[in-house]
Amino acid sequence: MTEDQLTRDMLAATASMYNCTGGNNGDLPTDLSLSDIDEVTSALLTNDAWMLLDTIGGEDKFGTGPVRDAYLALGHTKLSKDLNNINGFISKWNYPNDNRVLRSEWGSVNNVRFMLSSVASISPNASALGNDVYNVFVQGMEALACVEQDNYSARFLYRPPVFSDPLFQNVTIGYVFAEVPRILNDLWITNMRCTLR
Amino acid sequence: MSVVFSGTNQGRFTADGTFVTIQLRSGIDWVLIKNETVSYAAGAGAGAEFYWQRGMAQGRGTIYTKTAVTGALAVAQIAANAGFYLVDSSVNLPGASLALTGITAGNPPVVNTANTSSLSNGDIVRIFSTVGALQLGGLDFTIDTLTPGVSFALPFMAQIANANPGAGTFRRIPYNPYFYPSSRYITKVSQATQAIVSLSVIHSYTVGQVVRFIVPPITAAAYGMTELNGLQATIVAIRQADADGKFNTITVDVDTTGFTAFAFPLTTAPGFTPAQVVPMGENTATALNLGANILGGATLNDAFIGIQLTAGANSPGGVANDVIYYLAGTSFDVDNE
Repeated sequence: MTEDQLTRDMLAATASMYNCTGGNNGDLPTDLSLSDIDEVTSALLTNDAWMLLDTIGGEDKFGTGPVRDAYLALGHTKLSKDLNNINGFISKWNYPNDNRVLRSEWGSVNNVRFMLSSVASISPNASALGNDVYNVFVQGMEALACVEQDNYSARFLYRPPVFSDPLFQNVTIGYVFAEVPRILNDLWITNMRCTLR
Repeated sequence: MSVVFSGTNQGRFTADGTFVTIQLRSGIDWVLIKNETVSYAAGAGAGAEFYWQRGMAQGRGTIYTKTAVTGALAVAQIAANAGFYLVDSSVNLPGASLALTGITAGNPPVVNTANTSSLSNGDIVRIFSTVGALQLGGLDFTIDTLTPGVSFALPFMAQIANANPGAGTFRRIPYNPYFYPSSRYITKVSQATQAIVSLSVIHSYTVGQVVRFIVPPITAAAYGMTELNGLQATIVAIRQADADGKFNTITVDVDTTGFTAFAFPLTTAPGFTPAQVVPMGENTATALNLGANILGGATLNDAFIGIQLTAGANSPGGVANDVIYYLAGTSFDVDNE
């Protein structure tokens, strides 16, 4: 397991949840919708959560538009198609400044910027119709932290073949870390649960 | 071929008649079980030794059964589902989808189904795709009062107004989130100077932990007690009986006597976010005052890997009071062509 996966599972276990209801797939939670994203944004704002990402100001470039300051959302890559179909979605391709785009970013909807990963959180068969539920963690600044015990994060350990056997045939590669993921303020993060269209 | 470590773990336990899970942090490629009680006692027909290694099917393995007269061991394959199972508690896979035929409006609600063979009292089930009682869809419940082939009850659920008159489905959920403490769904809240909150799945909260309540307004009536929404509270007692005499509860330092009565949504309610308890910290003073662990609210990773030994006279977990030794290890190389 990686640090990311541990943090993911901690959030899935302990963060407060919000079921999307604004989509139209007939399930509970529904697919992602603009109203759900705005609802979660409003709740985080009301809880005094600070935005994590700054505004990207408009520039004089064709096909681009300014991007609002935003909360960070961590979701699964399978949500990419649904995000594309949400009213007001801005692909990162349309951001005015490439230097402000994050590597895993897919785009933004109003005040939420979405980062997608193939190992993001899924609750299997957890919807009212038995479909997989996708956990999208929408968070503000300092909502969570990873406490590095003994003052170290992941250490990559490579042992060359000279240490393994007389014929120098085997190497080992691994990693170790002593780290605890923790929600610092539960008001500043919400698990926005949704299904697919 | 990258594993250099090849070592062994050994130990002993006394069986209690239920399955045994041996946690082996270094992993496992093989395990040898010796049932000392069966080996040394008179009689025959029970398994004295068992063996499993990677490549053998889940739930199987090899059994060495003690024979009559000489006590020699006869080798055979362990019966299906009576042997060894690899366990990784960080992998969360629900059980198979099973049909139900109705959910009653009794107190507590009872789920009618013939598919109970994989269930035991205390298991968690997730209900979905029902034709009625739609408010239960996607929620997890601990079960009890299991009647084989007929039904099981949802002991911690509030009585529902309208039964589910027909078909539906459920799955057994053979895991809890492996990070502790985890959030839980609320089914009932009392109106009292110290509110008693009932939860749908057995909880493991401790006194002194601080939680926050999410009680969203769904309809004009449900969830009713929206005054509780967003409040944080300290748990001052656990497992006190609620109004229905059920004990899967937390008692908190919130006076709800003047609050609107809590009401679980009806089947006609629109899609909603369930009322929930979210763990958020520890009230150290309260914990100390009540003699509780002041680190009870700390985030804890409970995940483990290991192997599960099925119980029974011809299974590696043995029967009650059997003294059982195990020797488990990892191999330098595993090659199962």
